Amino acid sequence: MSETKNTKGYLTGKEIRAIAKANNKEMKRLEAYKNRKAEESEFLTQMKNPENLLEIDDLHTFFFTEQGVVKAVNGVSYDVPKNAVVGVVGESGCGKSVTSMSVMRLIQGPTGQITEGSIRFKAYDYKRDEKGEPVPVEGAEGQFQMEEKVYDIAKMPINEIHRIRGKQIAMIFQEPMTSLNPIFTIGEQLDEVTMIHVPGATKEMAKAKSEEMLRLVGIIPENVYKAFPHELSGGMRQRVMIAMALAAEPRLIIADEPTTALDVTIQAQILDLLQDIKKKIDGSILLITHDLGVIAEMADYVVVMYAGKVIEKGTVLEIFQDPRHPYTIGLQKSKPTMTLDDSTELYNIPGNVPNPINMPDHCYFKERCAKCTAKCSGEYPGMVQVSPTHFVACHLYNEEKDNG
Amino acid sequence: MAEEKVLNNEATDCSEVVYDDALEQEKYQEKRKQQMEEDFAKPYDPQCVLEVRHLRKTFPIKKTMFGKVTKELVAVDDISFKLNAGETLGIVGESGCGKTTAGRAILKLHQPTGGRIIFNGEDITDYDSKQMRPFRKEMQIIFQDPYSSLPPRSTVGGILSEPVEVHKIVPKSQIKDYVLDLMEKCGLRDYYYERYPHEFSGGQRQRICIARALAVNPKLVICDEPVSALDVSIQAQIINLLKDLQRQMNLAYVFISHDLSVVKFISDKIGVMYLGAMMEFGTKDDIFRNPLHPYTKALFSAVPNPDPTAKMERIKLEGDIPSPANPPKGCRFHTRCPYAKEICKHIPPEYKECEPGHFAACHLLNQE
Repeated sequence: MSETKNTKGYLTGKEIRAIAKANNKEMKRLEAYKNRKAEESEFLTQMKNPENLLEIDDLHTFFFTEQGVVKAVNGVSYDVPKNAVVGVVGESGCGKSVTSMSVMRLIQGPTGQITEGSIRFKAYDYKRDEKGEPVPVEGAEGQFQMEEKVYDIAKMPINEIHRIRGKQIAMIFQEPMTSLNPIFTIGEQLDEVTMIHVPGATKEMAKAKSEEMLRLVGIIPENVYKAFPHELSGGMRQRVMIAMALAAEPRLIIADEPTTALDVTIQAQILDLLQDIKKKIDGSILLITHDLGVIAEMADYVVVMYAGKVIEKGTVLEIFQDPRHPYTIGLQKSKPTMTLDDSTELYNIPGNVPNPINMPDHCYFKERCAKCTAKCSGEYPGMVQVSPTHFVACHLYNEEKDNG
Repeated sequence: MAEEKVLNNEATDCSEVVYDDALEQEKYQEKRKQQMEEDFAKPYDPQCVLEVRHLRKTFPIKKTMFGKVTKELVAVDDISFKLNAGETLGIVGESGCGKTTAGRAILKLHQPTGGRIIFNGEDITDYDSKQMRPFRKEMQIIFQDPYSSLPPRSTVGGILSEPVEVHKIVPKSQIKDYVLDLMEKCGLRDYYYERYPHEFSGGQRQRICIARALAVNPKLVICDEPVSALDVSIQAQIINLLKDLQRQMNLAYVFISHDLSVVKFISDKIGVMYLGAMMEFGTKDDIFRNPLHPYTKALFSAVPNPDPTAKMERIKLEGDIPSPANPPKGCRFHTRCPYAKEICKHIPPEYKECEPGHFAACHLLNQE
């Protein structure tokens, strides 16, 4: 497959054909698995820890490209506990967005596929009978029995995904301009959420719900309900996106760089709003960003990713006050801050992120690492537990453990 | 001045003062005109690489049938500063505040509508493109997006030799050596010479852009958000490179950015812009230790601090930036200012020197 090490800097026709052949076979298999029909029991599972809302376990998401297989997410595991904000940081191309897209099953097929691993999510869904229809509450019109069940999102067939996508897990995207449809009014787009996810919803119900959501995010609905997206400013659009995400009362909100396209003063407003909302909805937020400042302010737990792998995870205090991985330390030092002494040179991590095709077998950070030892040329380091909640993937701490 | 003070006091004592907006506007314009004439008459400082006096740039947004402009957007309204060799001026502000337009107007990529640009003791404001030619090699620009600012069809060698050839920096036979030397300075390996821009990552491309700007030995470089498209670890590399090169070549930078922490790191002087106008200007120490304008304070407090234990008192700004096509009357900032008073809604505040070298435009400062 992609194991062809190209020393020449380009691929020969023979290699390209070999890659295409291998890719087609693999993509066909995975695509068939994705589109299969399956009983509910096939993708029901149990949580490892009942306190968690989402457990990502050894997730692999690959892209089968013409140049070879891009291992965008290569064995990622982390948990999102109930009522917590989990921040995922990393540079562009480290796989943080692809992980969240995998959770939503939004990976563009047939090129992108989840090849391995499981995503367990504790959903609060309709109780279903043998035919898969929701069971109604006896005596109450339009109401259905609810129960808590755990889905394995990675194993779900794609036509069942609407049970959770948008309803149980909602997503806020980076670019509010491109994620809103320019030809429908804000009201129409917001109503749609309720119409789709609540069985038997009427237009009036949907409108009432939309207006409530707009008020929740600090917008006066009268001004905005009939407006088109282009009439709103960036901050307002992002508020609408948040309202849309909240409309189906999700248990988990994935915010993928929600403030990157916004100005600092607007960013502060949106972050405040997200904090507020978290208290109100009794759910969790998975916050993906490259801004360490945003993470420090918002998150309870932090996951640091590099080149498709989690290299360190822990609580926010552990990561910021006692970072262990050389990359985490470097990342924090290389960010200029308002309190930094600026007479000295800014610390920087030399080099670049390695090419995602043909990743080395040893630690991916070895070439850029200042503390690299002989052991780093060996196999990829496993996760070492530093404290009950703090994990790091680095040989430095393996040795400590061995010696002590 | 005295009159305004009286008004001020009245405004705070009883809020029933009625302002005649048209009259105030007229008074304000008159005063500004006087100030401008005074400033324009001043002799040029030969020490300064760049001096900008009351720079103004407007864009027409509405025209009559015969081409007469009926409505205009004031992108840059009255900014002034001086910049010496080896110094960096940081311009910060939110999107749409005119910081990029200001940068381009200084290079005369946009013809300024008003004000003077004095480069090296020579007034270049009214020069046409032919007269500007010799100045082009003295002033260069680095753009924000390294992906779209490099020609995809020429090699790195080609990109870097072109300005050298056009401006006849070195004899033709030495161009290649000169370019290779330059590439080494900017942290590019010599075998990149034959490669094309698409083969490089964002950080490397930005290095190519920097090398291209420095190929003609400029005195002034405008850096228009050079690091905002880059990752944190790469950002640090580029900032260090810019600082190094400044020290080696005694360059003057105008560093335009929305990232306050980056501006703080690289600048000697800082200007804070809002809706086209300079709100506060001073040395880095002045601005960061003792910010005077409420907007500057709010901007600083809005930056997220990468320290989870630090709990900051945040000055919250409500609402969005008003449209620059319809700026608010009086002080531009009064719609979002937490301390706005009645006077702020009617009279534009005077931009004045509060401490030596530290300018700000706010009514609150007049009262004290």
